[in-house]
Amino acid sequence: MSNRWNLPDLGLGVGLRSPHFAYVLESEPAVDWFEIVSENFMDTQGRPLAVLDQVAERYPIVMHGVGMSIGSTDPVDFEYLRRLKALADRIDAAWLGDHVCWTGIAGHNGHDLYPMPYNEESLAHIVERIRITQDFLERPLVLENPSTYLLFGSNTMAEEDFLAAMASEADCALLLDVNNVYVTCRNHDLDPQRYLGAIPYDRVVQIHLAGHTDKGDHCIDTHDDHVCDAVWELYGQVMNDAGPVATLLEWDDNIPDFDVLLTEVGKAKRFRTGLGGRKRLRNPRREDGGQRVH
Amino acid sequence: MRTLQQWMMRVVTHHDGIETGLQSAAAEGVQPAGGGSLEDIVLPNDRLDSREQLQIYAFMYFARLIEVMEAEYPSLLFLLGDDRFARIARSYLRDHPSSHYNLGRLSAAFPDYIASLDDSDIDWAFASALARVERAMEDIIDEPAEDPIKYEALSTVPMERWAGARLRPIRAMRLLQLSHPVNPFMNALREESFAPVPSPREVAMCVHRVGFQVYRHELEIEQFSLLSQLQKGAALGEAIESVALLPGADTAKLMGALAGWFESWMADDLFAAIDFD
Repeated sequence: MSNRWNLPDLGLGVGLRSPHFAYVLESEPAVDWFEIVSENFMDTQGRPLAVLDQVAERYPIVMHGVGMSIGSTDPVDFEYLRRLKALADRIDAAWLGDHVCWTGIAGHNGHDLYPMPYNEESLAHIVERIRITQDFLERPLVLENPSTYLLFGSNTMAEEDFLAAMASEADCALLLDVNNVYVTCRNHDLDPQRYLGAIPYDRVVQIHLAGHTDKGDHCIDTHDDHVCDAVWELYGQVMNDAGPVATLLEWDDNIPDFDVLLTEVGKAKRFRTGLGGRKRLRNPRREDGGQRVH
Repeated sequence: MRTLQQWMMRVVTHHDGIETGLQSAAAEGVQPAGGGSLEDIVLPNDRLDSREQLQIYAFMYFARLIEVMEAEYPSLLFLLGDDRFARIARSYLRDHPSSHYNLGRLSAAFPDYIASLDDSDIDWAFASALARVERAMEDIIDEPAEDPIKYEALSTVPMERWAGARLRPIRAMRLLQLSHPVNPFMNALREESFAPVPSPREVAMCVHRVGFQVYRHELEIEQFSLLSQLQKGAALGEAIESVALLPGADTAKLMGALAGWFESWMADDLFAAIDFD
């Protein structure tokens, strides 16, 4: 299934992180593309930008931010957007995006992906801001489902229904983070099948895979380990249902040698081609036995 | 919705923890609509109550930001120790909450904050000196790369134009005056060794980049003064004159040293341009 914008299936990529800068430039590893954390390159004219310029000459680059705060009730930060757009133009980014969240309020930035309330008021709010932002950036936004650790009492709709309505009304694209689907469903006793069933795949232009930390009574999206089996299974299902979509492996803490990432990317390749094995995973807590760690 | 966001931010970023954050939000009337009780605002589940869910965000707020600061101030971290550093960083975040998406700006005021502390057995002047150098090292990482001018290029400048020449240092250079020498302590740490806290001694330092590599070295006070003048945009003649007027300056010695200084500085790629009046 192709997406509405005919944005390309870039294949399999990994996050470009500073411990791998030298290796990537020297070895030109066999990955199809790189994703950057936009904010790590927006305010620098030093080595990170010099490295990025060189990598962008050799690989497609996707910009994925953590600071847009698209769900915040603070005014839209047009200076941030100006810098974001300038970087996207500079490296000819394949696309750019961020998360369905807010990161701060009243000028205080928490540098975290805080959960949205999922109701009509917040839907109207975020749709308006996405439209403003897309107009300014002159490209579709690719917004990711976050991992969440709480649900607000003011919610009147499920996260996946909120995402679908948001994408439709704002006419934006989605980044489906399969690990976040797993983590959020674990944390809130939700059904990943119901979640994935609500996602409009014609708006999904990118997939994220990552590892998380299982605390027993909840999971944290830590990006510090291998992708777990349950997430691989969900990924295989998405590939089967949506068709090949540009997929990125995230690894942001306890970052291993690049070879480890390549091995993980190789595993993703098998799932993309239908060789990874697949079974439908329902409530992941029940599948895993819901083991509690004290 | 705005009130909900304000409420959550106050609760999960409160310096004294979420319980105090909840009390603070209530006391200031920041209460989300329809939120009669905490459980109405954040839904408990069968494993985590509302407080435990908020605590996940509160823990991550401080853990993430303190981790960033630890990475930026490794020598200061070593001097203070993990617990004391974390305690001070937490207080700093209370007084200087992040207001910018760029985490690199988070601890810009940390050296001044460190300099304002005086409540224990730590030599805070030395701690402040370490913090200032480590801050400078962070700051210059993001400065642009510039093509340096080489010493040989100076030979093409006619003698009569020297006084009005303006040598512009690279932007990736910081000049610091400190209460303590910091290099032995920082170098030892880098080599996974140990050096004692030094006795106070006023030193001048240059922190700069060659390519993308960061260097730091001590300067004589006359060198510091001259580079400072050039950094402010003074013409070479004015800058040298101001150094010669320093108390105790030996003009003859200064004039004899200048060529060697500039040769060394240019070998370090410290200048990006030369302009003439």
